[in-house]
Amino acid sequence: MTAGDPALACEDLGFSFGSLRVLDGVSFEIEPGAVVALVGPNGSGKTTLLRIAAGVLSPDAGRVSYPTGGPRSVGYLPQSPAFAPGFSARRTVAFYDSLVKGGDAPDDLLARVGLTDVADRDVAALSGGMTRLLGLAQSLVGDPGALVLDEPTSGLDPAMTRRLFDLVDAATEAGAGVLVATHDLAAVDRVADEVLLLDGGRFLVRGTPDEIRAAADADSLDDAFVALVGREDRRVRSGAETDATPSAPVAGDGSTDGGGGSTDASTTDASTTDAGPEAGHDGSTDGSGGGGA
Amino acid sequence: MNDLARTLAVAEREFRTLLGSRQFLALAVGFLLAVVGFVLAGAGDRGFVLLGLSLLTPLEVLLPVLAVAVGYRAILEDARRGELDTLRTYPLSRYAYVGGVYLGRLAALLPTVLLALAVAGALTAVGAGPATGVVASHTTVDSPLLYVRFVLLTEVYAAALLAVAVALSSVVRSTVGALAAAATALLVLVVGFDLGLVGLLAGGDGPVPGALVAASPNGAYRGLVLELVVHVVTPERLGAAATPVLSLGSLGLWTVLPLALAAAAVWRD
Repeated sequence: MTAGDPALACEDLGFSFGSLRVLDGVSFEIEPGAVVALVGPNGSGKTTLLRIAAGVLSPDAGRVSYPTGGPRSVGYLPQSPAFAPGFSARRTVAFYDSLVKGGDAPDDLLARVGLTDVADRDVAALSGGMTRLLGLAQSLVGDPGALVLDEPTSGLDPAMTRRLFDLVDAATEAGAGVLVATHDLAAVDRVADEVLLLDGGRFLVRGTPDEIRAAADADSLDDAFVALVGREDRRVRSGAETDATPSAPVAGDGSTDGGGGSTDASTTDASTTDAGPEAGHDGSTDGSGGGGA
Repeated sequence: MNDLARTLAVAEREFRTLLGSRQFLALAVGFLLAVVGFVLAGAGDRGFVLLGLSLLTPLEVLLPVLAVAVGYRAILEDARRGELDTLRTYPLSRYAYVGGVYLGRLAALLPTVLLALAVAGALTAVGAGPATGVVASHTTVDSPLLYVRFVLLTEVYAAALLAVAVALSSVVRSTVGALAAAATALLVLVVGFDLGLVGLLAGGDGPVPGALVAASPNGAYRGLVLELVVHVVTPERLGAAATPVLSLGSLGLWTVLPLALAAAAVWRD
């Protein structure tokens, strides 16, 4: 890694599930020490973009790059972290640490995420919030130069949420670049250096939180989101909407179906998670246990 | 830190996962009881070689079931939990990952088989006549050493079957798919190949070539046991068997090729 290299760079990414175009020419960079927030309506492709950015899903087009040289280039916290049953939190982190050897010791990592008191508890006995914090500890193994976090605050109480973003701050102070997808727009307002609003496979708008608010002529990011995306009916997208102008500030009035010239936006009930079907072992993370015979 | 160390780290995790699984413990106990049952039913009354011969056919059914049960969800479960995604962010090659999964499961499977066959051997030593106490390699003499040879060949067979199961677990997408694939694999392994051979014998003019006899894991295992254990003490040909080299080569391929398939299927670099 040399001075000036981004911690994470995505160039002209494209991805489709069959005939469904999920990402179309998406590009961005994250500088070391910066936090970039990825927001967008449900089904807009955030998880797909994060998985591509983390290197666990191959794009149909474009490329992802990180600086090399460290023991681990990118850390990844999936949307629903789950771990092999029958292991304590400490042994789980120790396993991941054993794949790197060069990161923090397992106990140090557990202390950083506040799980010292449950270090010997079986992962199956951890609460959802604790499991997410364990996932965060896993993502920090090897001190990666880039962190990709998918809905890290989902299911966390306010204290845990604060601790999580304190850890994000610590990681950025250590030089990591962070890409985080979240619906917690108040947290985005506090921590993000840049916000990427993904809709219809492209960035509907991007900029600092202030620029996003200004683009929507809104007082808060919540209001700006609703105005720009026009999703007051709380439905999720199931179809490709590919006419959005990339990276263009949009002064949405909240009355359109996508704010970016989307076409034929069929809708479904608002209960699905992000980004449609997944193929094979790049598939769902339902957290079910097992792994035994 | 190299790929071998990471392979061993994955293997240790798999081994501990399996040991902590009640299903595996139930399978291991069931396998032990089944083998002991055959011995108590008379398989161990006439010495070690006939014990091996008596266990041959039951093991051709029991071992595929055990190996497939141990391995058919190994990689699938990591995928279902999302841990495959997580693992891909580490400097872990797919070869190291698949190798670790296989070795970890193998480390649990082989002692399970060994324990059951050791108990069977011990029961035979206690229950059979004095001749079973003779330790010798001379032909025509029953010997515990021949039984040890039988046990080793059985372990090689089990290792090949587990590789097939791990390969299955790398290509299935769901538990239902894994169950269907496991059932199909068991049918093919246990009866499919042999039915094919029977068909060839019925329709052909002469004996089936040794390569075809050894083409299936069961055929190769059966051939090895007949050639290296049974035919050592009895000149009577008890069945069609390929040469030991051919049979060993077949089991080697049935081990390496499925693991290569699993490494190719588990993820794209």
